[in-house]
Amino acid sequence: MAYSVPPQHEPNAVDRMISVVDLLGTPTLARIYTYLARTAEDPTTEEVIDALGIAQTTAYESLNHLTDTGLAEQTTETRPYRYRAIPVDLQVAIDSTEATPYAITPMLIDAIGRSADNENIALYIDRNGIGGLADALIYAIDHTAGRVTTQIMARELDHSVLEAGTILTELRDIVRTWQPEHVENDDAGSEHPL
Amino acid sequence: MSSVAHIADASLFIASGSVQNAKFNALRTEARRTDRRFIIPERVYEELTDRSDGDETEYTTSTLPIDVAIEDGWVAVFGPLDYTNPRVATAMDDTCRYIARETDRQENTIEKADAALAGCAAQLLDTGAVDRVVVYTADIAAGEGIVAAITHSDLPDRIEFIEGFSYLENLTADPF
Repeated sequence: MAYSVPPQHEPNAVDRMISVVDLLGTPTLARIYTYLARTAEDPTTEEVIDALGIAQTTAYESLNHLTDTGLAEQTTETRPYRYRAIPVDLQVAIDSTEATPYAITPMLIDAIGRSADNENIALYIDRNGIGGLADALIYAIDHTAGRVTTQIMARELDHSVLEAGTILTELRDIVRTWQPEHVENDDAGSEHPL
Repeated sequence: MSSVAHIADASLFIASGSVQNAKFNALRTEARRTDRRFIIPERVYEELTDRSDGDETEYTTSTLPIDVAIEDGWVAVFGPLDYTNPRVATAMDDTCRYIARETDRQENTIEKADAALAGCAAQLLDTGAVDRVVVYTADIAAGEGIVAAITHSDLPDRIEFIEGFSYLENLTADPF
């Protein structure tokens, strides 16, 4: 895996942005990050390997990379080391006139991580890009709250009803995992709550 | 004994997936166990068999077993809708308005066909074909809109909405 080179100093905001870009482009890294973020007891490397069924080398490399780039931290001084994810909430607006910046949060990273073993999410990213998946997540959040229908999403994103319905189905669990107590018809917040 | 029509939309069948999917098999088993036939409006059949996305690679839902289900007799296509029947037209218009309001969209962006389930329900009730209708959809705004529209017409207490994802999860005890 070709990750960006970790900074030699304490990661600042730009370093963390670059490391988040690594996550967005690397489903395995995204899966490991998500596992750390979702597991209450900070897991050991062995536990990560067992839970995700990944190779030992991949796990060691990925955990080192996550800690080097400020996306995770080691929570024990002695072996076996335990790891914890550092929360990500990155606002992205290329153009300052853009009304609603994208928020890159663990929900999007989780969706990308699942593309490693979910062929529908993987194909959706192939067709629509990571940005397209970010858009679809916004619709999935609204759909779970009853604020959009499959047909409306299909029209607005120029999808078939089948494609819209398929990605809504695949993203449902992710939305419910990260928004377990979502409020129906909650209109609060102006940002895309990814 | 009262007769009941079970009307489903595309979201239920997309969520239940292919014949390899446990949710599809649970849906088929439930239909057979309860001797239930799911009715889909023509529009829904078109959505489920739409091949306009044609690509070399396909989603696992790109070829849904809807024709197999129809052949097996537990799904049937209903149509055409009788738009000259005022109850059908009103139910569809009311449902579109409800969807527009709940989703914060302009009314003219909601297509009448989005309310095909409402039209189908109104037609089956109005012609006396059935006494009650249950609609299955994962689109909460549409499901609630249909219930509101049918209830506001002079066909009250004869409509029920079941949210499609939860329905499938309950059948399989397996979340999405």
